[in-house]
Amino acid sequence: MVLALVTGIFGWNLGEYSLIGIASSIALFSIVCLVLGLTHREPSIEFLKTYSELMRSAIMKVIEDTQLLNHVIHVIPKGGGGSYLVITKDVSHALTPKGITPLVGISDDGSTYVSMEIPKLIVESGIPLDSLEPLLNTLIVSDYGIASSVKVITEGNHLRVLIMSINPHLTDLLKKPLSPISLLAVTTISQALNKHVVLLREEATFNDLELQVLVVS
Amino acid sequence: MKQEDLYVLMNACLITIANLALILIGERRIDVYMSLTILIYFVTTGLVGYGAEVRGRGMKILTTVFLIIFVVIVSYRIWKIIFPTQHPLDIVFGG
Repeated sequence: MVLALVTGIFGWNLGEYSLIGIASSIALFSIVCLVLGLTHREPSIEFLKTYSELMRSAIMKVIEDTQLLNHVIHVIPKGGGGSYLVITKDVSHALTPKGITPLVGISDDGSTYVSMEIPKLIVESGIPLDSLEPLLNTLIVSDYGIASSVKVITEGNHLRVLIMSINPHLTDLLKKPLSPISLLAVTTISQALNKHVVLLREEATFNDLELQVLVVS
Repeated sequence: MKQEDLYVLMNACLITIANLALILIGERRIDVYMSLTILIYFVTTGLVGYGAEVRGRGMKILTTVFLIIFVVIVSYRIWKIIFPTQHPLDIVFGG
């Protein structure tokens, strides 16, 4: 910026417009660098990765013991903005928030499930389906800096969520099952739409993640 | 190399090359230097991108501001072609 200012003053005094041109060019470049510097975040997430892995292995142990290795993940709104995350083998939608027991429970049809209570993550609730993509972009791209872009493709009551160019520091968090990024996305979808959703499939490539989500009610 | 570093380096190199080329051909119009710098910014952002570690909002505002400046410059040049008379922006861009 100082260099641009000095060059600009020098050019102005000499009546040399090419110098002022260069000064303006340097000024624009310095503004770019300034904004980059001010909006940069240090990826201090190593501790979070370790914690996440520890929690994942603990929950995985519970899932193994309850024989839910081939599971699907339900996110069910429980009123007041929060939700229940239910891991079950059953894709059917018989679960209701009132009948869910935290941690391990048995549904009406006798199948076992593992559930967790998730607090309210977003302010918006009951938004239309076409507002989902901007919301996910705000949360995942702008607020959390997880990825470069999020795309939502609607196919009836199925959603294909493409989370693209995931931050290389976060690719360790893409491990299946119970990837925190998938859980965040699917919980956000459920809370935003205020609907019961089911995560049917999650597919992670090098630094992209594709989620297949079923919107139930 | 980190994406962010590559982005800044590519921007710096291309802007230097463009400015040197403009000096060598004796270009005196300030808006040419500015518009080329903005164009390089857009090309680099499109080709390399600034990476997910940068919060998008600040860069989005900057992109909008740059786009407005670019549109003003292009409009000014078109105006000057159609009406080659005095224009208030002549003082800023050197005519």
